[in-house]
Parts: sequence; C-alpha cells; structure tokens
Amino acid sequence: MNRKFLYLVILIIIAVLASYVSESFLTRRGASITITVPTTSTTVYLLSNPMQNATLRIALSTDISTIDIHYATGVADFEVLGNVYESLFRITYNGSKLAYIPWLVKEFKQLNDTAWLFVLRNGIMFQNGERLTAYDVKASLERSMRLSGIGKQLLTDAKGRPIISDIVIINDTAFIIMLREPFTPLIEHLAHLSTAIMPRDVALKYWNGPINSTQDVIGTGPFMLESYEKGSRAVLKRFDGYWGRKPAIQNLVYLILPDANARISAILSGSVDIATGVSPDMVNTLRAQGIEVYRVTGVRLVLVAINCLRIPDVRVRQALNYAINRSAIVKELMDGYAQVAMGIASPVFPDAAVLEPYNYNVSKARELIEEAGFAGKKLTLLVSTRSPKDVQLAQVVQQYLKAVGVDVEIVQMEHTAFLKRVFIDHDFDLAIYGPSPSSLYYALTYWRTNASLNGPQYSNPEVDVLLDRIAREVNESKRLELYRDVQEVIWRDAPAMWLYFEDVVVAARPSVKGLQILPFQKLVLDSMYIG
Amino acid sequence: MRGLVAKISLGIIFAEIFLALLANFIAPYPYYRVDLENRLRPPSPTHILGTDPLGRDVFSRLVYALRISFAVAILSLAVALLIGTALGMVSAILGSVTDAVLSWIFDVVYAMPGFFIAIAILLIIGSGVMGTAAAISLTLTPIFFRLSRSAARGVLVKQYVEVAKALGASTLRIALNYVGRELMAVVIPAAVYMLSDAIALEATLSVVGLGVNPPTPSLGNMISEYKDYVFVAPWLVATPIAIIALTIASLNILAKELDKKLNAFLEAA
Repeated sequence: MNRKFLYLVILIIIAVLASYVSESFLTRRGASITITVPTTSTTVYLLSNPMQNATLRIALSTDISTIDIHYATGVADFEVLGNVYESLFRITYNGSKLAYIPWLVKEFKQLNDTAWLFVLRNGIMFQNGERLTAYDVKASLERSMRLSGIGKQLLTDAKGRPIISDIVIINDTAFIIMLREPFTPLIEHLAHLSTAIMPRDVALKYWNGPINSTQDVIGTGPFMLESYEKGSRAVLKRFDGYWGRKPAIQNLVYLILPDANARISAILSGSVDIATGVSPDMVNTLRAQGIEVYRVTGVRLVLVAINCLRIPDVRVRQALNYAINRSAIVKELMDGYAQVAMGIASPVFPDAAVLEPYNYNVSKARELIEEAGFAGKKLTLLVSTRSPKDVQLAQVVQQYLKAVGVDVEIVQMEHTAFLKRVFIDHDFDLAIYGPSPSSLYYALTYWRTNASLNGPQYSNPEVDVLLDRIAREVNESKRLELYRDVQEVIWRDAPAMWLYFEDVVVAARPSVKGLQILPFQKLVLDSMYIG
Repeated sequence: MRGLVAKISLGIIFAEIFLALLANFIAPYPYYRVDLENRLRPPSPTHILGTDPLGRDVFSRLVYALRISFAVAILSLAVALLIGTALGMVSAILGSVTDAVLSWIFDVVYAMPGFFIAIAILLIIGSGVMGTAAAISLTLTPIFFRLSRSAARGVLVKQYVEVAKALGASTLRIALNYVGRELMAVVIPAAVYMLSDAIALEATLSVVGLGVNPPTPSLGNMISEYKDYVFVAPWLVATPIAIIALTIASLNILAKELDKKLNAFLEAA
C-alpha cells in the first residue's frame, strides 16, 4: 500500500518536471516558426462547388438547447439549425459591414407605411419534397411571433403587441405583411433565423410547443438534420434538392466539446476540421502547429452592467467607465482579438455610431466618484462561470475599480442562476455579460424601459420615444440622425461599463477552404470545400 | 521503509502548513496583483513558478491557496467532527426514539452523493469561503455520526461500563470517561483521513466553478482557472494538481500510521 503511494508521489514529481521541460521546448518551437495566416475571412468564389463525399467535423463549445429553430436562443442553436432552415432574408458580411439581402424572397416592395408586398423565389423545395408557398410563410411567421422568445422580441412593439397585424396571401408565391404601425427595421428582423420558414403542416402540428422529433426538423436549407444526441453530436446530411448552390460536402457533424483543451487537441489531432470558441491565448500554439486561425470582428459587446436602480447617479456610472483601461484589456487580456467599444453597437452594423470614447482617466473617475459621495462604497460583481474569460475579466475590473476607490466583491454563479439573477430578479450591483444582437435596432431595444434583456433596469423616456420614432421614420437620413441620437444618449447615461467587441475566433485545419464566418459566431459553409 | 514514508508525509504536511501560516511573509507579491503586461510568463528568477493569465505571480497565489484550502478543509472538518461525534454519542447513549430519528436523518443525508449535496447547498447559500466550508461539513457530518455511534455502542456493552453503571456512574461521566476516550482512537485517524477528503471536495467544487470566489486563490480554483492553458502554459495547472495529490497521499499515509499508533497506545494503557 505504502509502496504504491511512493510510486504515485514519484510519478507526480516526474509529471511536474516534464511539464516544465515540455514548456520550454514548446516556447522555443513557437518562437522559431513565424507563419502568416490571413486574419480576415476571405471569400473564394467558385462557379460551382466540386461535389465531394467528404465529411466535415466541427467542434462546438456548447450543446444546442433545442431542435426547434423558433425556440433557438444560443449561438450553437443557430449554428447547427442554421444549416437546415432559412429565413425570408439573409444576413451577409463583406468583411466590414453586415447586409440584409433577400433570400427566400425574390422581390419585395413597400406599398404604404404599413403594408409590404413580398414575392417568393420560384422552385424552392422543403426537405420533405414539398414546394415552399406563401401559406408556409404565414404559418411560420405566426408561429414565430407566438412561441419564439427572440421572434417575439423582434416582432413585437414596446407594449408587447405583435407589429404584424395580418399576413394576406395573394397567391402561392405572393403575400402582403400588414403592420399595426410603421416599422422600419422589418427587413432586418425577418432576416433573423428566429423567424425561419418551416412547412405549414409542421408549424400547425407544433402550434403550442417545441418540435420534439428530428423527423419534423424540416427547412429549405442545404443540410438535413439526420440525428442529434444530446450533449454529444448532431449529424447533418446534404439536401440534394437544395435550391441554391449545393454544398461541396456530403456530411456535416457537429461535436459538442465544452472543454477548451478537448477542442484544441481535437483539431491538432485532426479528429475535427473546425473548432469554434477558440481563446486568443491559443492562437500562437495552434498556428505553430500549422492550424489556420480565422477572425472577424464580432457583434458581442462585452460589458459590465450597472444596476441603475442601485446606482442612480449618472456621475458614478460614468466614473466607472473612465476607471477602465480598455486598450490594455484588449491588447493584453484579449491579445488584440477584440475592438475597444466606441459605441453601444458593433461597428459591423451599418449606422452604428462611433461616439466620444471614455478614455482611461483615473483622476477624472476619482473626482466624479468623490463629487457623488460614492467613495469607499462596496459593490458586488456577478459573473457566470460559463465563460472563463469573463471570470478573468471580472478580476481585472476589480483591480481597476479598486484604484479609484470602489471595492468590488466578485460572486461567480452557474450560468442559469446568473441569468435569473440578472434578467429576472435584477439582484446585483454589477454583472458581466455580452449581448449578441442581429441588428442595430434590436441592439438598442435592450435599453428600452422594462425590456426583457434590460438587466440593469435602465430607463430613460427619451430613449423610448426615440426608438418609437426610429420605427416610424421612413426618411432614411432623418432615421440615421435619430439612430445617432439614441446611441449617444444611452452611451452617456452609461447603464453599463462598455468594454469591447469580442472577435470571433475560429480554428480550421489547412485542408478547409472557402470558409466564411459571420460576426455572430456563425460559420458560412456555402463555398466551403475540402482541398 | 514504512516509517520513512510516514516521516516524509509528515514533513510534507508540516511544510505546507508552514507555508500556509506564513503566507504573508513568504509570498513575494500580493496574490491579487494583476499585471497584464507580464501574463503567462514561464518560471524565472523573478517569478519562480511563472505568471498566470492575468500576470499574477503563481507562487504567491499557491502559498495563499494552501492557506485557503487548509482553512476551508480544517474549518469544515472541525464543524463536522464536533456535530457528528456529539450527536453520535448522544444517539448511542440515549438510544430508543432519539437514536432512531437521528440515525434515520443521517442515513438519508449519507445516502445522497456528497458532491451533489455540496452543490445544492452552495446554490442555496451562495459560494464563498463560509458557504464552501458549510457545504463540505454537511457532507462529512454523517460519516462522523455513524463512526462515533457504532464505536460508542461497542463501548457501552463492555463489562467495565456495565460495572460503572451498576456502581452509579452518571450518564455524563460514562460518556466522557469511557466512551469519549475510546472514540478518540477511532475519530482522530478518521479526521486526518477526512481532511484529505475535505481538500479534494473543495478542489472539485472549485473546478466546477463553485467554491471560493476569485480573486481569492484555492488549490481547486487555481486548477479551474488554469486548466484551459494546458497547451500554452502547462506548469500553471501542473503545480496545484501535484500539490493536491501529494497532500492527499500524505494525509492518507499519516491517518493509517496514526490509527496504528493510537490503537497500540490505548491497548497499552
């Protein structure tokens, strides 16, 4: 027995020594090899994809929470189900800005303030062999507004009423969306996958609850869901009747690997072709081993929400913003894989305003805090354990706030408990999270009075009025002005410490060609092939 | 051979306790000092165990982590030992309904996996040093209860206790003089053994993100904070793991040795 322990002890000592030795070896190797890899996504245009029988394996960091696109909420949900389903419009990214382009829709026209005419593309088939018609669209949009958490937020107004009063079908391919009131961001919101189109039969069958059989996961997209094992994998197969450009690969397998080390070893060993959720700290290690690392500016704004009911003094909230050295965080903690927040919406959104920055200024922060009589206050900072980077960030924020005389106690919580505490109970002083909106308007609605994603309970009637006016303003230049105004107001009111927009970092083996990445951490496999 | 291993184990534990107690003097930097410009540095003369992803000195954190981990483990163990042993004795001596009710309650708690009880408690009362200690002590209490109850019952049927009773010794006197003395031989080695359990449980809770809140280091939350850096900076996670393994092995060896010594001592007495 004791002999065994002795062996164990010796083994451990050897393991520790080995780790030091291997490290010095690794660093030397890392330093001697410099590889330049494209850091922005590049588009490879091919006339048609070479049809391959290949299987593409992708490692995801989180499991999907549902197989029903209208119930989808997480990044992983949209990543997997986004191959199966399509919406009337589609969000594309050209390397600097997002665009919302007609997709299942061929043409559309605004008839008057509250009526929009849409005509569907011809010859679009669902994966069950049925043709896409306006009836499917009507049923799908109505189901989305009825059931979908995000669909509801996208397609209801501030009072919680649906913005769509009726969908009038003209014939199989044409329909009119009648609005209760003018709503200018309609197209952007119809591009979200939460408003994806499914066959009418399926929508009616699951009118009151989530789809529970993979057989009923039917969309118009390039891949069909073949099987899904909770916590393990989702397997998709090419849909040969796809109306658009058919994907080159035959099988698509998503492997759920929540452990960061497991994802890294999987891609190094070649057991997956693509890994998402790559920490910036890993980039050099991966590149040294010949793995390509892609990055795009993300839409995820990492912020520290400030509970406005507990800290009503705007001077304190601004002081907290001045207390943070954002460029140091971006440069060091994020290794440059982020953009310092210059506004409350990611620069990839058209019309996102670049505002006067909160420059790092300790003396100004101290002054404001003393002026407000807030010095020596103790605050709690809530952080979810789901993201290790957030936990690190919390400790950095703690140090910065200590320097301006605010003591912070960090409380870490399991993710669901965290969400409840922040968005339902609003029981916190400060909380770290990062919303990932799909449109500028949607990003701004987080800050409406009593909005469901308004964690800090920020309320400014001016913001509410401006948002209503934007929804009604048809004149584009006037609307742009209003957009700028509302962003300015929220930015100055500081219901959060605005930190940075996190880059989306994806690792892929060199054989993966033509991969594109959207700023929502969504892969675009349209022109992807194995080279 | 056996004696040597035990001595080494004792040396390791003493060294760790020494580091933990004198953490303030030994740690070259404050454990919370973030230095973003010097993150993930390999071991060097200025930082003998390197720096972590926030540029903090790993050696300083490790010394404080020993303090926190030992403090949490000893605190939770002491509470569990006091409550568990006291109730176990009461249960054995009073018998009848008291015994039945207490045994039933602790059997129910004991039947549930300790780890899940601890998670449930932490979710209710919130994480932190005190929360973690409370969670760990509740999972350990039933073990001390059962141990002391069965040992006490064994003592109570012995002839000399019967004699004492016949001579009119009070219940309290029996509890302290006869039962208590014998219990020590059972409970103390068990406590040393349980100390390793408490340390392991604290580490496990921290690895799943519960337990002591950052920036306070503990052996467990150092592992959880550094585990994603195995490929970039393997020394970060290797050191706390090695220390936990060494501590647990040493404590187990010590508990065994102590068990033997105490029994021999009691027999001689």
